[in-house]
Amino acid sequence: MRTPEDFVELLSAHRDSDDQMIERARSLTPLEVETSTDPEVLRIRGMIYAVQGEIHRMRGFVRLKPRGKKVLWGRMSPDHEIGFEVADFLAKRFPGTIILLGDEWRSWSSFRTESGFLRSRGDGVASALEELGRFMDVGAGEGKGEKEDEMDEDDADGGVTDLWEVYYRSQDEPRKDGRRPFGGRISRCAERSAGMETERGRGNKRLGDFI
Amino acid sequence: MTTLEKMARLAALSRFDSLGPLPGLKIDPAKVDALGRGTKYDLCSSTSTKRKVEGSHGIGDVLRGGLCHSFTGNGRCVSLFKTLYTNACPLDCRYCTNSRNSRGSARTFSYSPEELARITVGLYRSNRIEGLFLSSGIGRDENETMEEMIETVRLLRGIHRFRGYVHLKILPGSSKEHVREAMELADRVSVNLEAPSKSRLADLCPSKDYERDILARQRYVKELSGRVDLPAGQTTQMVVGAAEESDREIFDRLFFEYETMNLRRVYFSAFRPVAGTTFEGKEKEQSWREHRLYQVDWLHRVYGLKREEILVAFDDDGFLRNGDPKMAIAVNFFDSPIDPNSASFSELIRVPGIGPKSARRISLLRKEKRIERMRDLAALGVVVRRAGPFLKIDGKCSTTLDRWIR
Repeated sequence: MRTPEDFVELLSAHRDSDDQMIERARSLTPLEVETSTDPEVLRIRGMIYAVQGEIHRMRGFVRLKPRGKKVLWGRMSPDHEIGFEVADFLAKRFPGTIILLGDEWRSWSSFRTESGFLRSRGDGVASALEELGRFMDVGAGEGKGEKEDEMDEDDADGGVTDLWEVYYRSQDEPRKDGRRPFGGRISRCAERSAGMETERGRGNKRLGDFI
Repeated sequence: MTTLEKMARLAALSRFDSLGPLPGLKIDPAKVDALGRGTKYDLCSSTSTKRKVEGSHGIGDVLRGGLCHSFTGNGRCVSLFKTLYTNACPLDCRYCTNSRNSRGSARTFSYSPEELARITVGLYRSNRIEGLFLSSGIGRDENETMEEMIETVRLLRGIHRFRGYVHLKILPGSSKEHVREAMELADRVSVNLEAPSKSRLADLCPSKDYERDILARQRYVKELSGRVDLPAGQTTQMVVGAAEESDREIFDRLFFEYETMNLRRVYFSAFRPVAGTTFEGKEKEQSWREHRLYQVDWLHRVYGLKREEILVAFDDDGFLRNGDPKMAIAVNFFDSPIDPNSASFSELIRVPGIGPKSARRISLLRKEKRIERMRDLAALGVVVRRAGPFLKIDGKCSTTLDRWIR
């Protein structure tokens, strides 16, 4: 069954959830959510699935860049309140590393310790990175000095973006006429939200391709 | 909530670095492109594994379900860094751009184990891939190339403490010792069948021996599975439509692979002619054929339908029609519409538009109350438009089969 035990938390993360709906959800079991034909419960189920879907997408689509030796940060602008769900997942995946996700206005940081996750909410990625810079050396990794801000992204991530672009294009097949980008499996909105630059620009020819 | 200052203090004490391992490593983009292109038709969408990574002893966390990190233009999922180790190959597979007879493989490339391990970790840390899928041409010698592929994974697991997903191809003709080492390090291994039988393979690749090079290696994996833990099991892949084989031949082979070789998955890739290869003038296979074979595979593997039952979906020449095979099976299976309030689980899953998940939901719901309307079924995820002709509620049918039969 797709509805987890903590489905009320997922519902709370939905941008359209309200107190009345959450109260109603508290009276339900996961099994009832899964099998009910009541229109109100169907709506709750749809909202839980929407939040689960966005968490899953962002776990895969967010692109991380290193900042100094101990920070990985990525652009993420989700519709629902799922910042910590994704940041915790990545913090677990990369131990000893601070994961910072967010956009111009919101940010979520997570760091995994032996006893659990440390979390911090901020007012945007730029300000969080600036704050981190006051406590640790975030610009001196691998010979990069304080002027890292001035470097373009490809230099900042050690050429990973360039490498990905080459690899991504090598996997592409000629598109079929009338097919939507990504076979319609990722919305433009989700691409933008996760900062998928290579994929958004896919199909763009470069001058080098003609020479 | 905590402060960023506290996080920064703890992170400084950690032995792990966040920096991608690429600085200082110059990689020829033409190599990445050529070796990536060589695996374009290899399929590996699922990362299903029972392995669980606990603690903070390395980077990576393996999910049970697959996680797509991107999609190509025609909707194929990009979840792994799929690459060849080398595109040098002395074999003469007629469909392959890396074969010795192909005009497309003038320039050969090869990674070194360290180079490939560092690229993998770099892409993984930027969250662009879920793991590595490593295949290869034979190179100078299959055992030498296999050894280097294994060394790549050894470096990943040892030096880079990479705990993410790894799928290793077993090269045709590899030694049993190499197969064992590959199984110890990887989550999944696979040997490509390419064709459903010895004679069909001879049409595709005369220099490969079906029994000795391929089936014998699959048996090694099966034998060793009792002693070596291979979390995501063994898989294989077949090219569809290149050797004039019928769907029935592919299905029989598929059945053998699941029942006798204990394979976890069989993948299909519809043949597409590649310029420069011996088969460049051959007509491409319709992609729907690949899709229908996956549906048949799903009916056997997930729905648990018996072989004899599925055979109904094939025509007299042994081909699947371009229609849902489940519909053909259901038309043959049901004499009259069934009532979802009293039907068994095995009857429910045979109804088109009802899958295992919605069948389970129906079974659970009817313990609480009766299903009174088609709308109730729709709320449980049933595709009513397709299921309608096979269902009756309180003796009433909402639609008949006639509309499906031409």
